[in-house]
Amino acid sequence: MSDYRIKRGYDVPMLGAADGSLVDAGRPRRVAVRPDEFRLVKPKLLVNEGDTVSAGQPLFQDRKRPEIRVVSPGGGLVSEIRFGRRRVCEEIFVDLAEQEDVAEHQSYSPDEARSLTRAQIVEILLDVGLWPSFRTRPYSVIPDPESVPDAIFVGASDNDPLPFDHALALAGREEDFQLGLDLLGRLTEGKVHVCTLAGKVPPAVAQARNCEKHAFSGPYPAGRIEAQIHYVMPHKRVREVWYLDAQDCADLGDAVRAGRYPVARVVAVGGEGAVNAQHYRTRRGVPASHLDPAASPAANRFVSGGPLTGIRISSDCGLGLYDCKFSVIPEGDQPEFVGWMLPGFHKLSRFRSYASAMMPGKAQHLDTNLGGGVRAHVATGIYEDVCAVDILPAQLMKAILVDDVEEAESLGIADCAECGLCTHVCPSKIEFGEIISNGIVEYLREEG
Amino acid sequence: MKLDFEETRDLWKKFEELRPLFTKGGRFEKLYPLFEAQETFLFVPPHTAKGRVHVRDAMDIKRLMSTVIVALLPCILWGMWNVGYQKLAALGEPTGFLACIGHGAWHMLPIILVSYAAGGVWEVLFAIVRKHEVNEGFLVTGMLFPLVCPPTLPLWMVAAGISFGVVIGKEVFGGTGMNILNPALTARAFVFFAYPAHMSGDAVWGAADGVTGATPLAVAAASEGPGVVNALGGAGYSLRDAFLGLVPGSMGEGSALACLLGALVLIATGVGAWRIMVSMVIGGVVGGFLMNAVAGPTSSGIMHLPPHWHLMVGGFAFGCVYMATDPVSAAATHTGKWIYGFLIGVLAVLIRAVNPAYPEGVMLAILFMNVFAPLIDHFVVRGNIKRRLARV
Repeated sequence: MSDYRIKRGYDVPMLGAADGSLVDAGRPRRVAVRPDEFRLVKPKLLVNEGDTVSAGQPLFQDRKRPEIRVVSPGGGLVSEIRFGRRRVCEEIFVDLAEQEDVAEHQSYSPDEARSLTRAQIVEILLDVGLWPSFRTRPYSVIPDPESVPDAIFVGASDNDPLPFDHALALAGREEDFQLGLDLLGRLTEGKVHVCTLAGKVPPAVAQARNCEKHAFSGPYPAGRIEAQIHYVMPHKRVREVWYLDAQDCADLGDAVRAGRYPVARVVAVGGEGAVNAQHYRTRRGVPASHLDPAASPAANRFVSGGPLTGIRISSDCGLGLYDCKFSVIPEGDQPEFVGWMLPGFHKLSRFRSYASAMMPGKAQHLDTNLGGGVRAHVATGIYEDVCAVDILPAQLMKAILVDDVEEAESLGIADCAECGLCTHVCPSKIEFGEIISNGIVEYLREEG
Repeated sequence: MKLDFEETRDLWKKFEELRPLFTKGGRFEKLYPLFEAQETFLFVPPHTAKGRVHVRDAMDIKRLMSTVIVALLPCILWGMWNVGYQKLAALGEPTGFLACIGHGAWHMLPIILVSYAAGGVWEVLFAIVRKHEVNEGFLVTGMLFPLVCPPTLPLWMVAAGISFGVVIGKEVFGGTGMNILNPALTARAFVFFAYPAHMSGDAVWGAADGVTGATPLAVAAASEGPGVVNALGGAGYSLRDAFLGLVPGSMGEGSALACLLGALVLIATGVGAWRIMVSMVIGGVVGGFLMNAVAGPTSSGIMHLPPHWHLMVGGFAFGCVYMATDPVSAAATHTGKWIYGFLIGVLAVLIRAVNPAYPEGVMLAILFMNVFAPLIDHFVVRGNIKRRLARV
């Protein structure tokens, strides 16, 4: 067990974090998959509207790497496929059947599973449909099944403004989690690392064996796996590590043991707009409207993931594969009369120019309003103040904007944990996150 | 609904009605920056976050820049009083508080108004031609410039100065955020070199006609040998006067106390770069000791001036708090700010001491380091890259 203390970062005090209760959400009417959440994946659909699919049957594959397939989180009818601009497939909906068909694979006892070879495990994970659970550091893309990572990281913590509680998700799944860790150990030549927050170590992690455990403390993004990896094994050009969420790690054990794609999932719903902000025992691809039907889709923005990192979705669309929570945030699409001149007792700001600074850390109403007009970049130095991974965000942004890929690389585009803080604090309202994310995609395209 | 009152709702509706006139294809399309400036002045716009970061900090550039104006208030108010006080005291008239403020305002307000009007015209013109928003940074520039001018400066020179500052100091580089030099100081430097008779010497600092009064720096520069503090005392300047700012000089910069109050506002709100302020003070002290150490018995009194005097007199405090910290022209990196501020401090004292023609070295020191800020940043960025390369 090693401890890390992250000094830089910022806790945005938000209202409406999910409480510690875990309730059964019942079966949703439909589930959904979003092909646009996978970086660099060009989806090729394997089903059509009107097809009947079983749970675990592939819905689409990557055009470039056809072995990477994303499977259906439920059995039933492919009722709707939504396309965005340029016919890019955005959402695939599956109406669940009364009796769901399930794609069956070979099952292994835990002991058998532990004696599988690396190649066999890779084969199983690709077949079952769990391969996309892995992402690489740097750049967060689905890894190449041929490659061997230098380490695998399991993220079992979250301290963003509306955190998810991994202890709830792993309770009762200790054996699957352990089996998952053991399988991960086969996949890498290095070690398996499990990252948690100090003082919030889920029991399943505390009793886990055959892994390195790390406890982090400090402000957000101390609980974000992308940032944690930077501290344990910072990016090297010759190094690739993989990471996945602790819940996916337990699913790995489950899938190999049961021989089927695991569809159960613990999901949090948080945010000021949420009516029942709590944790739900439900399934993959569940729509937010099923978990918290009372939350108004007109007044709120539904986000799959956290308020600083998630993807905006419609309320009927499903939870992303990498997400374990919905954030329901009030839309701030209303003007405010002379808002910038007011004392601002209820305006959240990391600068201390509003009266709310007298109550530091007090959660305040926060909606999606930009909080001002977009302006030229002014070097206030606040980005450096909040960046946890020792990059100079403003300089990096400039390098990306002038298409200087080499400079962007040396300025640490690979280190960026994409935590969203520099975008959040920017007084010029510049989309740092988008710029850096586009820079990464551009970089990867250029590298091939 | 954030608009709680019917009046504000009606006003917003008016803006919505007028918007098509100013947007693409509208009759006044070209004037959109003016519309946008009005709109965002009255309303925080209803724009919402795009991308993956769905909640944003309430701070915007308007608030940022107006916080600087708030921090300038002590200097403005003190300056207004002091201009009147210096005038009435020189004329031997009673120096009541209201009388001082009144006389000060009489001299100061026209200069501030002209500065805002002339500079504002350029700002809006460039916004329209270059199709960008009117940048709030001008609110600060337009106020900083009058505060570093003598109260006797003719208004047309104020207009010429701020025009030079805004156009050559900022807009030719591409506008706010792209300029290399601090626009307010560029304006001052322009007036200083173009019209030296109105910007230096002993006659310009008092608002009373025909009355001359040397600034403490001029007194120190003119004296000889280690007795400089006595020479200042002889001219009627105590350290207390210098700290409070009861001395003739540019309108808003004389009071170290007022600057200190402003610094507190800037640091407490997180708007001003405390690293620059601290390191510039350190630089000034180091520079002062350095000069003391090399001063001979016959060298100019300013070589012998104790370091804490350097911080109190002239534009040091004002430059340190408001000018050197301009986020656009200063070094952008944290480490860079330490180096940048320190060098300004040393350089300001150096210029004061070794070049008696420019007793006010702070302006030149800041402009000089403005030019070097990108270089400092370059080395800091290289250092960051090197740290990273050491592990990749």
